[in-house]
Amino acid sequence: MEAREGRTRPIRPCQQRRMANLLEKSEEMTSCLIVDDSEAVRRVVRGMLESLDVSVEEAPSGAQALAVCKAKAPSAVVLDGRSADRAALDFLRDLRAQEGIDQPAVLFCPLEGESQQVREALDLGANEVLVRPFDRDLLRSKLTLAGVLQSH
Amino acid sequence: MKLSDFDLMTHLIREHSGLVIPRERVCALEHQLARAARRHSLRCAEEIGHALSAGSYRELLDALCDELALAPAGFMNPSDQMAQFREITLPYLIKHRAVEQKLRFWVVGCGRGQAAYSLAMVLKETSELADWQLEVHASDRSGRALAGAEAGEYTQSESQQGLPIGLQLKYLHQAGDAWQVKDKLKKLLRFSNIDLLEPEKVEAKGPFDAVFCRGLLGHLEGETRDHLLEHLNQMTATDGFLYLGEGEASGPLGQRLRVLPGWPGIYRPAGDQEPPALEQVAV
Repeated sequence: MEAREGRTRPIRPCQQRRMANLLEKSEEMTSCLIVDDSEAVRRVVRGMLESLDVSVEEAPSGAQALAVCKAKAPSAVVLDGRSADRAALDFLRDLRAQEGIDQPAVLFCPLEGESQQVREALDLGANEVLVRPFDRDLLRSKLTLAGVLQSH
Repeated sequence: MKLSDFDLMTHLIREHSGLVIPRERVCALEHQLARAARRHSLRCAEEIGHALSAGSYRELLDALCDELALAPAGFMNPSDQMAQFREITLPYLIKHRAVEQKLRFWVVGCGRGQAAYSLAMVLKETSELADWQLEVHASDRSGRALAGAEAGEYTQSESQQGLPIGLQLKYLHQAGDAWQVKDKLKKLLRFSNIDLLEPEKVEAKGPFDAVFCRGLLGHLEGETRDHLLEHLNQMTATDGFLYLGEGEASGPLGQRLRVLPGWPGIYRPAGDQEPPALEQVAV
């Protein structure tokens, strides 16, 4: 645990491109995929993201989320981690195993910050963790830390 | 609130704490007054105004000033100044203190401590400093805020604001619904209850290698502000750094501080000696 903490991940090519885009103030809109089985939660998070000028895709399951990532190459994925089952972690593993796609930044959203589930998500390649419940400001703060949004 | 009431309140607040509340902030003041009224079982903001102008409720005025002076919280805030500190100022200081192997910092108006703990985290994350003697002094005039800072306890939401998950898991731990700063970080910090309108009472003696005072000078004006800036400048090492809010260095001394090119808000202190140029450091 101690050795893993604070480790900096190597910057992936897709993140380099994203940073370059941010620097050039690219006109291309930042896009975000919400993965959550609750339609109500997706709608709330969609509202927050749209108010941050982020275009939004939604997926209720990991399988559908993977299809969206392949087809639409979102800049980021807001991944629900409320459930104790492994669906979210399995999706994350499958996503990171995909070759030849633009890998999105992944924001993992669990109910507890200090847990085995969070450590696993980070090991599997989640870029940041946003513990529920969260509001628009926290979402923006974490998307900025993940390099998806520019600091204001 | 009527504007005449507002003017009376702001006058009382300025007399008491030096804080200047411009008329644009009438809404913010009303909001704070309503909260203060609830805490002190008064019916409404107007009743507070009457109580204060009648000379009673001194502690209420204290509490009100504390709240109005609270700087915007969040860790690693503002992120660009913190990145500048890590990548430019710190390597410079490491080079120039190589003999003493000692660094001292002062966070003025530390509020509930996020800025001071952020600074401590940056120091702990710098491997060259592993064996150095490091001190982060943090002060605030509000005893209540300072108690919060010393406790180092943050809500789930506060603990996530601006703080990368890697640092959060490394330097804080979850305690029920709250997050607690770990002792390995706390031991770098020295807290003190200081009212900067009485700088002669400051216990933490300079010079400091960098002084951080953001969002405080902007609330003050005239002589009060000039004296505070003068004091901060005196407490900064000749070759040290002053981190202020953008545009907060004003008055006669403000004109003499040298802003780091490209970094509004970050200054070299003014004095008889020229500090060694920053350009001499390879970054």
